[in-house]
Amino acid sequence: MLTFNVRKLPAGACVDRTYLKGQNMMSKLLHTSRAVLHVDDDPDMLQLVAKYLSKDFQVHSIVDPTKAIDHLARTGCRLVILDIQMGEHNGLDLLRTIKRLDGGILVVMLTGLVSLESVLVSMRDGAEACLFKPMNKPEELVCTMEQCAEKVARWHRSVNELLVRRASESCKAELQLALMEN
Amino acid sequence: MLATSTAPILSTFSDDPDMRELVEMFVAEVPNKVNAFETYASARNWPKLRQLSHQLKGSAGGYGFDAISPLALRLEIAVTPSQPNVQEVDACIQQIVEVLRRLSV
Repeated sequence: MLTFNVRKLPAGACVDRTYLKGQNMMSKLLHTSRAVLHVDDDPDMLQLVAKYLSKDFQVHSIVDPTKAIDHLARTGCRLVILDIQMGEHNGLDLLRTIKRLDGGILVVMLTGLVSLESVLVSMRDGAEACLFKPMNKPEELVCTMEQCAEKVARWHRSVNELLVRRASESCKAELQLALMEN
Repeated sequence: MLATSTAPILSTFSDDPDMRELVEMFVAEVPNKVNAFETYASARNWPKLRQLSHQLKGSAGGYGFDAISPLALRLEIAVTPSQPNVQEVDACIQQIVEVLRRLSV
């Protein structure tokens, strides 16, 4: 019985372009799965959250909400922490924009006491969780982000498995064709 | 009483070596915060005061200064109406400034 190990294919072997493209994508995704973008107009909060998360995540802090989308598009970051009330900017609008950009980006709202409606809208519009300031239990934030990272990793594994299976099927078909021709 | 005493207010993280540096940075920024509150209060800039009080309410507790959050919340509520009660706002700011000046690591 023929077995295929697509991870150890020799040079020139049948590796389809989709697989290579997928591997590049995977590499980028895995690199960014522990990256967190934190958006808040309060520098004190940015510092605090960076401190709490820096042991386990690469945190990028942004005080200007208008720069968030550009950062996400540029880096492929999959995890976002978002304030709701940021001066003249509304975090709920930014949440919707992020979700339109890529529904797979996971957003955790970290906000002061706001209306119940804001929390419900956050959930409805795709936020993973809503945590409140002041942060009495920073471990709750860490735990939430770990769960989000695990969710991202699960998707990465699924995509990776699909790519491996597709490459394997492609190799199998090409070898069978070669055997028939000989 | 919190607002009439002059005793230093210590962060609950004073003995936490992991947090101490961060709290020191927060305390070092206090003069700028006081200046901002006083400047915007003089200018009757309600949106800015609302933003400042909202931020302080959210962050101070995270640095171990839980006593500030209720004062900041009171100010945030006071400056929320389109025509705030100026006396109430001034009283809140005076309290906040007094407390901010007593913060210590």
